[in-house]
Amino acid sequence: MEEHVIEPRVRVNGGALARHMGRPVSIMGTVLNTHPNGISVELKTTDNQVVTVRMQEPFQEPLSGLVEFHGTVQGKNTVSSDFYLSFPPEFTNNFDLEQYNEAVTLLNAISNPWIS
Amino acid sequence: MWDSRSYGNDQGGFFNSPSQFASPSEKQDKPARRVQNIVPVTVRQILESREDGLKIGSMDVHMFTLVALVRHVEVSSTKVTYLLDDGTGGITGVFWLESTDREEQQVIPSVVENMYCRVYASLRTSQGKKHIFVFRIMNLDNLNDLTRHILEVMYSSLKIQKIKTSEITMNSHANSNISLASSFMATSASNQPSGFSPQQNLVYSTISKCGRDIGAHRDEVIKALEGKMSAREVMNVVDFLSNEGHIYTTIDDDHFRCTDN
Repeated sequence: MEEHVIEPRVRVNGGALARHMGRPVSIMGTVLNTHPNGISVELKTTDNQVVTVRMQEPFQEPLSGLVEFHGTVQGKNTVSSDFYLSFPPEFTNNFDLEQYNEAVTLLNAISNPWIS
Repeated sequence: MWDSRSYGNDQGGFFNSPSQFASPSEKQDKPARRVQNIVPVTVRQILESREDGLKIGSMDVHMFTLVALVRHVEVSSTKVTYLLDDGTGGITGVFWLESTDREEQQVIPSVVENMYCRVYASLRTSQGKKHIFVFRIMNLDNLNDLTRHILEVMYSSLKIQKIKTSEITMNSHANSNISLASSFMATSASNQPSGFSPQQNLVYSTISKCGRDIGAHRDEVIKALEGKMSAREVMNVVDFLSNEGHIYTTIDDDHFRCTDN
């Protein structure tokens, strides 16, 4: 199998973006709207902030619901993404957003195995 | 002299008797005992583990659980190879298929690329490269499981640190108890459990010093401790020790023996 080099990403929410400028992150949120040009999306993060995600290529399919983006932080509410993961509704209908947000906040606050 | 690691052995018979401090010293005396816990970890913890195996803090970890994104799946006739990425790094997981000559279909886990899944596995190193031996891999059925894993990893890591520091304080606590007990006793082999008040120690050791099968009579104990404790105090302590199970009655209600003799 070919070598896949996987770079560590930090799981963030809207508020944590500013601390990780230029670094690889994972960010989860619900899609508010997609730009007509097909490469930009507005995401409402789990801490209720609005973040703009820019893709490399236009989306193949309309995005809605809960989506996780992997990418690099460009600004305090912009991320450029090269990969996304869209979850089926049955996977996310019981998802506790607040709890996830607390976990992500905690992860970014104390020293733990998730972050270097 | 009071080296916390070896004092159990230096004390002769002390730690052979059941004692609440048996467990920390037991762990050190039996390094071969296999730890069976399944610990939630991150890929980074696995990749950063040293040659002597995966450890979290000071605890050896043999089986662990991960929640990761399946980036790549490769099926061969003998195994399925997964590339697992949980955000902290990527690692290869191998799930060996059961060899079968019959026409039975081998059960391949229904895990596909770009899905989060839970993995139960163990670390293997071959040719210097680390990979994981997968016992079970299955799709997450609920995204809350991801949150759960994030929290469990943090919790386990902190808990293990906490156990370690409480072991250290327990060891130093035991040290101070022994010196306290020894300073009260004339005899060298102090065979009693720690955690006793000085009075309890006195009564207990008086009873244990009596070599007879029928044990010591209540009055004998009172007489022996005349001047140090009043009769009433001795009786109170005797009742307490008896209730706690440290001493028991023999031929009648007034003769006592130590349970640890």
